Amino acid sequence: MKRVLASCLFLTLCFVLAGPVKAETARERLESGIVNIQTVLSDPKYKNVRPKSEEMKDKFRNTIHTFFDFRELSRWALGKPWNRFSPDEREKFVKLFTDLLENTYLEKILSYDDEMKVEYDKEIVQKDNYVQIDTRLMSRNGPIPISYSLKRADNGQWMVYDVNAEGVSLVKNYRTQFGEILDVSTPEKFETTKVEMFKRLEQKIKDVREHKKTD
Amino acid sequence: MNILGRIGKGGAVSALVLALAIGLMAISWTKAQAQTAQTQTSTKAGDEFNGDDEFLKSTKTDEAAKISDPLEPWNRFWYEFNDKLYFYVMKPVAKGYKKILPERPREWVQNFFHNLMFPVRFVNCMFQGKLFEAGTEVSRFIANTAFGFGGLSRFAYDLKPVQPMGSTEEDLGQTLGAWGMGNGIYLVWPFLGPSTARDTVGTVGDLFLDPISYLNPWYYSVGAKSYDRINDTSFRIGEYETLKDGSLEPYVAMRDAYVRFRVKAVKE
Repeated sequence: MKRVLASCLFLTLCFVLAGPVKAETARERLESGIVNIQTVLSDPKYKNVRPKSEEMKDKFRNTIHTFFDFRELSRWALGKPWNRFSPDEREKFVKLFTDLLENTYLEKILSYDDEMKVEYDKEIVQKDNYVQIDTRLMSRNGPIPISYSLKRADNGQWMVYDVNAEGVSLVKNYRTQFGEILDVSTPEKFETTKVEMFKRLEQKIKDVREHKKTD
Repeated sequence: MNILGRIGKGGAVSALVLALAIGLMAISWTKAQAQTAQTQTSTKAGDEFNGDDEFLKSTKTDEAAKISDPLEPWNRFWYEFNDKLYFYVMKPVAKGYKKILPERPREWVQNFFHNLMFPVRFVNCMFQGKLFEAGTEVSRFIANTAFGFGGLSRFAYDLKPVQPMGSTEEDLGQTLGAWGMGNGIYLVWPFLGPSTARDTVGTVGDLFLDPISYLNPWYYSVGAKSYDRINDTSFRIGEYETLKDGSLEPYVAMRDAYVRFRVKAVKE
């Protein structure tokens, strides 16, 4: 009798533990991501230290990558021409574009030593797998409205693919720029402007790195 | 068979446990089913944009992307001019100024000029029918002027309003937009920076409500405005640099950012 009871209990436990883990909501995901970022930024080991150590930059970058999907972000930033890129070109583009963002906007965040509170406002469900979360970054000069767009990936995890500050969407701003460079009118023009775009991306990253050394 | 037989003898408790186990099994199975169904639909959208309606929707309703810029060469010329002006004049001056004056007094200066622009915000709130916001502006202006050392302190701005409130940062360009006027063409002005046909009309109109424009002789008002700009720049060193560093086409990035920022401001 006892053995039956024990085995039943064991079975129950197995199902409880093995049952699908309750998926994180988009809001929970974003919140924990931001908290982790704040933890890195306010770590007394790194705070108010200039220049920032490579160790801290790595830690910061890795934390961002836990809740930002840079592949998705690059795809949205490029827009429709993405469809006409080969898999290799896509990988190359994602790598370069991520590099550029890391060297500019992400570096910029590192320079803020102030601890800023984040207030969460509305959550707008755009479609089953798309959510926009409005927040306000409480800076000393008043709140800065920032919205995050998240998409549920195939594995059920929510990842950020766009950031919108004061109405300016990161991916849309870049889409306008890439649209200015890429000429999609004929396949030949598309090929040449594509080469040009990659060249400019590489040059830009080089310039930014040079720039930082002399700063 | 053996198990069932024993349950019969064993009583209610173990039956309950077994029922629970089966129940849980069923629940987790349906959940797993639901999850695979979900992944299936999302992989259908795939890696392509075709059929990705969320993306198509975002390009269709993107009014900011459609700004017309027929004077682009002319605008680019003034963009380059303002760029040089920033790096060779504004930035060095603001940097030096920042070194001399600590952050606190610079904030007082900022608050003072912001308080002074009260008529612009008030009138445009009224024009847009934002009565509660207009009223709030009045009380903030009175409180900051009377008890905030003539507007040096912005304490009344930091008080939470009694009811949720829209933005009070209104200007004539936004009023015209709220009344249904489109942006018109994109324009870059020397010293003033990015604007549009509509916002240029707005900026000129707002000058009549700006007390600084009434300073006499005229170069006092230019001086006061320039000082306000330098003071403001001292808080923003690095912002333009990041935008410029991060973009492949800084002129286009700036135009896009300006128009998007204004589209949002009009909506609020």
